[in-house]
Amino acid sequence: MKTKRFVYLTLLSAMAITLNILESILIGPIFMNLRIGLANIIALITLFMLGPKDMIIVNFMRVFIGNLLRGLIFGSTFWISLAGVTLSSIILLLCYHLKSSIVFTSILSSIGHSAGQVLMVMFIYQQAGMAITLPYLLIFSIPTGILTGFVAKAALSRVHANLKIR
Amino acid sequence: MKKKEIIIVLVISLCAVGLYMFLKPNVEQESAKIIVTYNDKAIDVIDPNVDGIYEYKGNYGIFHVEVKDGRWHAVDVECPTQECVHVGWVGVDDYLPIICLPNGFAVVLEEINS
Repeated sequence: MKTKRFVYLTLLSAMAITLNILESILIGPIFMNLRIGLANIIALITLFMLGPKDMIIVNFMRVFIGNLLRGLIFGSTFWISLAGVTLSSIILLLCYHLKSSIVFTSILSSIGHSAGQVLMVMFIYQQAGMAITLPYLLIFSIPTGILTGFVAKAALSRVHANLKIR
Repeated sequence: MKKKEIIIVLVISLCAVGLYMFLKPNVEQESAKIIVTYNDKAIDVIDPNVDGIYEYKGNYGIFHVEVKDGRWHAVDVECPTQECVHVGWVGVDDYLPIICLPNGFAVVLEEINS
């Protein structure tokens, strides 16, 4: 059982890292610095498939290894990603414990990700004016959250019952 | 999604609109100035009413700001992410700061009366 869990954890981490890198290379930001957040799909799948502890591992692996592979480790981009992922993971945990729906969890996680990033940019650059981007990001995070939520929901519904670890 | 969750999402959307109205600075085109900061320090003040291309040397490479018809954008930027370029043209009405993280630049709008 432990080996099976590790295999899934490794596969999901690899998927999250790949999606993260592919999105930054092939798709890029859809508005300002806002991305769809395809890797959030994997975070949601991990949360509802393996549980909160593994979701945190996948999320942080994605930031550390994703930035390492892109040569951005410990640069400003890394700290901004880390802030986004931390806030998003906290929200995912809260929603999970409150038994929220996948789509709602995804929307709030997407909002948390954007808010965390903006707060870190404000902190690094001491630019309170960056707060003006927060409303734009909040509004645009809702459709991206709905999209990733529906994809995660569809993927989870296709995971065969006996493949579920939890 | 549950009904309660839909209401929360709608409330967040309304809050975002309210926050935008509250945070948006009321700057007149005539008194508006573009402040270019490099590593948290203001290094240049640009008049948005004067067309031109301004060049700065950043942490990663060259960073250009083009001003045209009262609007400005980042262009020909030497950086791996190009996220500041994706912000596109901004003006006094749709105030948005342009941030280039790899180069350490922030281009922000401020009202200067003198």
